[in-house]
Formats: sequence, structure tokens, C-alpha cells
Amino acid sequence: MVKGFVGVNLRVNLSTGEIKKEKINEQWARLFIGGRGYGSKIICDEVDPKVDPLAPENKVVIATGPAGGSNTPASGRVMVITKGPETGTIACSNVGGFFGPELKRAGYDMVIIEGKAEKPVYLWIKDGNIEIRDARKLWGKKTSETEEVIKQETDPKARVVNIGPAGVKLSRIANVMVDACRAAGRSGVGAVLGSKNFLGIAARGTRKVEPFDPAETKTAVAQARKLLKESEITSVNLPKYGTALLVNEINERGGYPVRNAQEAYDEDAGVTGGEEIADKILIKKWACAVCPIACGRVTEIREGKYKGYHGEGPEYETTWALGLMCGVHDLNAITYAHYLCNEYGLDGISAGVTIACAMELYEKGYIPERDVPFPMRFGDGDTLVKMVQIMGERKGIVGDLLAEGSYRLAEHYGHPELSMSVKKQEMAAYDPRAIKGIGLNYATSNRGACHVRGYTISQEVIDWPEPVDRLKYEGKAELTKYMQDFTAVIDSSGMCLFTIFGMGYIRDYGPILRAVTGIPYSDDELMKAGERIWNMERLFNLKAGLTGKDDTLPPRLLEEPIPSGPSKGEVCQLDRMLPEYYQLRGWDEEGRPTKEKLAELGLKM
Amino acid sequence: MKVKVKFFAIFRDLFGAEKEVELKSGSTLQDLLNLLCDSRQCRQKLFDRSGKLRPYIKILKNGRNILFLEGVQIELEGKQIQFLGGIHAELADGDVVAIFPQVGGG
Repeated sequence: MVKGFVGVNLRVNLSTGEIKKEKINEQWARLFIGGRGYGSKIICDEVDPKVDPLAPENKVVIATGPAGGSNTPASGRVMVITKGPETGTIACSNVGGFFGPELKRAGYDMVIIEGKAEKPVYLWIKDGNIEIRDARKLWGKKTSETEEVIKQETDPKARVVNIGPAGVKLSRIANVMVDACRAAGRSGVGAVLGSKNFLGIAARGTRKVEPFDPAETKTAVAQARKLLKESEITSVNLPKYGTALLVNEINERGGYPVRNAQEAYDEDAGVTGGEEIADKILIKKWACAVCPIACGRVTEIREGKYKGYHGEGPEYETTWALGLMCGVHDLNAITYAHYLCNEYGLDGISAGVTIACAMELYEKGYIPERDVPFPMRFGDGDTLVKMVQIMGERKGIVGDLLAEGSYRLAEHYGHPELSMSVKKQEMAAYDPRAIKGIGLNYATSNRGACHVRGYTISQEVIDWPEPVDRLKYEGKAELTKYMQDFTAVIDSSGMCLFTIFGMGYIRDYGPILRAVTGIPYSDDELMKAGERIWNMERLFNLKAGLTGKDDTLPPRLLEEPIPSGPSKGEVCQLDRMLPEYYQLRGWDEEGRPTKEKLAELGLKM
Repeated sequence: MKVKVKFFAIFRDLFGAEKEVELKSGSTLQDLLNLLCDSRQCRQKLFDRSGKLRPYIKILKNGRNILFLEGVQIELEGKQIQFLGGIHAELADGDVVAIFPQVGGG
């Protein structure tokens, strides 16, 4: 029997009310590790890739990993896996907080949600007991209120995941909130729960999850903590300034997309960065379960129109998307817009990038005045806030379209090229024209444009664990593949990706996974599992109808040189990296895994 | 010549956020850093005991990581002379130098 896992998955059919407990498949635990890998295996086996993501036939897996529930640092992560409504690809969205370890203590590794409830419901799991509860009075309420009421109805110490108004209204950029302040933000996973009339889960448990070898686990965990302590990133700068510390790092290189990526540098970007957040709005840092890093920000707006509001964030990605991507320098408005995204249950990245797209469409005259409730120009903080509100409420013609994400909005107005997205998911805060490898990663990520599926920024900007020249094309195919496979391992372990800033190599993760599970996989086998997970996700997408033609970037990033700043004149020549990437992956020229590669990984088309 | 220097994160506590520095023509990044480290505390932040720049301190010259600044090769008296990049790169009037500790995030 493998350890680290509780050993039981919970399957809830909302259409029939049937609840099943299923044993963990030990073979899968070895081949797919857990978390993202194991959960994706369930989706790939059980969901027709061509299904409408918002139909009852789609399923959602909420999965922890084998390292979770132990003392392993930053191991409280949860992956929400489904077929995504924004991209039509397999989608998984990762979140921290305290829900993951609590779910394991309550008796389950994963929860598989299928079907559709007749009326809104939520799930209450307490020490192995399960109850499907009426959620009608909470349906469409803000996320913090929902969390509070669910705790009142269940247990004040319960940990809660839930959707907000955006998920209820089936926004394709709706998230799933954990502890009312952390988000499984990307890929519209919240809308899939909304389509099932499923509000969320409350969990409370007192069981202990035993590792396979407690002594070895203790040694491996001590080593991991040592590495995180030795790194100035994880021990000093992330705790002190949060993730938004990267604003200046990226902007000073001229790779910070501004005004819907019409530019990539802003002289005053620093006013929205981590140093300024620490100075102006920070109350204290915040850590997820067993995390020694504490990159979260508890903040309060202390001046101006939004004075007195408090909450969590903004993060690097949201201070960018809701900030300079929309031409906004007003940190108070950005912070309030971030709070609103959390309350509506909207992905802050996609929300900001979609608003930026709408602003460009409006300024260029592509959105008629009759469709807009107010002028939607770049640069105004109050306009940004109002746009988040109409997006969250799907109010009016434009509000309804904003909730669909940037691609559908831009397509509706005849200019899909102005959507800064890949496979219809919005890009993150790194301009591939200035940082080439991240462009290849955006183009090939299995859930559309995404930075954290293969965070080449670690090498290309952070110089960690080894520096790589951001402007060179050579070597980027290999780096991207490596980071994608490596990340798939970390995402499947239950640990946070940010641990890579101290634990730079697979050799730093292997000892923990072996000690916790008792599975004697080598480090090479773990990397092979990462590659297997990546290819399995790719197969799902190919069966869903996507092709190699979808592995591209918005035309702006391929063709329009950056007009000014330190990376002036740069474009992203994807064709200098993509063929080599396919070759390294063992895929044919159209991006399909070859028979040989599938046989090597034990996968079938 | 004048060079603008920007500091970020914990370096701001020590060096301030931004400085404009007057340098002799032909000065290198090394000269600039020597000038900036006007106290033992400052020097210890940037350099180790042997005088080498501490690993993972990132210095950008006009947005380019100095690790990847290419040296210039010129012919002098019939010989090819290689000028070093990196910390030995020469500065020019109007250059912007950004100095970061080891930061990450995203």
C-alpha cells in the first residue's frame, strides 16, 4: 500500500446523489504521482474530449498530492482539473491555502464531481462523513460571505472552497476560491462548477496522514527547509515584498506588457510593484499551510476613494493585469479591483487582460458607443473598477461579453487579433518579445497561455538555478520542455511551484516523494512521469480538436516590434523554437506525439 | 559622464532608490560599483571577501543582464584585443544601471 495518500477518493454524482468511495490506484500513483497528474488521468479516461465543458457530462477533480498533509514545506496545494470552458482544452488550476491538508485529514485525497444537481448544493465532509447540502440561499453571493455562512452552517474550523457570482453566471474566466483569499484562478474552472449547480466544499478532519518512512521523511523535509532558507528569494525577498517584487525586474528589462501589450516598458511601473505595496498598503504577510515562504499579502487601502477596504493581494500577476496592462498606475484602484475579482470569483489575470483588450477595442472605435455604459479608456483606475463590476455581474452588452474573456469579446467586435491570448486563454505578465522562452511556453502550454506550466522566467530573468540569456533563441526549446515536465512533477506532488526558488532541481524533490509514498521511483522516473503527464494532456487536446496550428502567439507578439524601452525592436520569432521543441518532445511536424513516444511513455492515442 | 543607477528591494534600504552618478569617461561597471560602495556595509552586500560580485546579484545595463553583455573585439597594433563584458563593461553617458538582489515570484 502506497503511503502519503489517504488512499481514498470520493466520487459524487450530483445528478443522482450517489456517493462512492474509491481506492487509490497504486499503479497510477507511480505513473502519474498524484495531484495534477492523477486527476488529469481521471479526466482523460472519463471525459469525452469533445464534450461541451459546461455540460453535465464534464467532470471536475479536486486533487491533493502525496506530499500534502505532511510537514513537507509548501505542500498544501490543490489542483482543480476539468475540461476548460475558455480554451476547450484540458484545464487545471492550482491553489494554496489550507483546504488541501484539511481534505486529507477529513479522509480523502481527491473529490470527483460529476453530473449536475437539480438545485444549488455544496458538499460537507467531516472526518469521512459526507453530506450534500442545500446552497440555494448562497447561490450568487460574494465569495467571502459564502465562506463565512458555510462555516457557520458547518464548523467554524472548516476549510472551504467555493465559487462566487462569476462562476454562478458561467463566466468563462471564473475561478474557485479557497479560504476566500487564494484562487484556483485560471482556465475558468469556476464556471464548470457553476454549470453543475455546485457551490463548493467544506472540509474538516482530525485524521493524520502517515508517511511511508517517518525518519527518512524527517531528513528529506529538513533538507528541503534548509534549501528554502538558504535561498535569498524564498527566505528574504518573497516574504518581505511578495510576488509583485518582480514588477521592476521585468519592467527594467522591457518585458512588461503595457496597454494591451502595445508597449513593454513604463517609466513609472514601480508605483504598482512589491516595494510600493510593502510601503503603502501592506498589513502583514500571509502563508499557506506549512509554507515557510509566506508570499501572500494582507493589505488595506489607506487613502483615496477606496480607503478602508481590506483584503488579500494584489500579487505580481494581478498588479500587472489590472494595472499597467490597462495603463493604470493607481495602486489603490488596482488593489480594490483585485479584491473585487476575489469577491466575484474572477481570474484576476484574465479579467485584467480582457479589460485591456476592451479598452483598446474601444479606443480604436471597434466597440460602438451604444454598447458601453461609460467610456472605456486606458489609464483610469475608476474605469477599471467599474469594468470589473460589470464583468462580475455580466451587466449590459459589454459586461456580458467581458465575462466571456478577451478572445470571445474581440472576436465579437471583429478583431480577435487584439486578444492577447493563446488558445483563447489570456497571457501573463511577461512579454515573449523580450523573453523568448516564455513565448514558446505560452504557445505550447496545454491550458492556453500560461506562465506557470513551464516557468522559464526562473532561468531567463531570475538567473535561478542557472542564468540563461532572455534574448537568445538557442536552447529555449530544451529549457521549455524541461521546465514543463519538471513543473508537472511538482504540481502532482502537492507542493508549491515557488519551492523551485530554493529547490532548483528534481534531485531536491525525489527524496521527499520517495520517503512519503514508499514508491521507489528514481529522479529520472519522476521526470519521465512529468513528461507522461504532459503528453497525456496533449493527447486530450488533440482529441478535442486542437492542432499544432493552435501552438502560436497573438500576431502582435510575433510581428509588432516593441516600440520603446530596453527591449525596443524585439519580436518573438516562434518559428525559431517550435520545430525543435516538437522534435525534442518526440512529436511529428504537426505536433502529434509519435507512436514511439507514446509507447515509451505507456500512453495510447 | 552621467549614469543613472536604480536599486530595488532590500538594496533600497542601503543605497536608496535611485542615484545619478558622475563618472570619468571610460569608467566601467566595476568602477561604478566601487564608487557606490562607500561603506563597508554596502561593499559586503555586493561583494564577497575576495572582491568578487556575490552570486545571484543581478545587474542590468540598459536592460541587459551584464552576464550576457558581449565584449568588444578590436584590432590594435595588429593584434586582436578582446574587451571583457560583464562587470568590466564600459559605461557611456546616459546609461541606466539597475541593481537587484536575488528576487523571484510570479
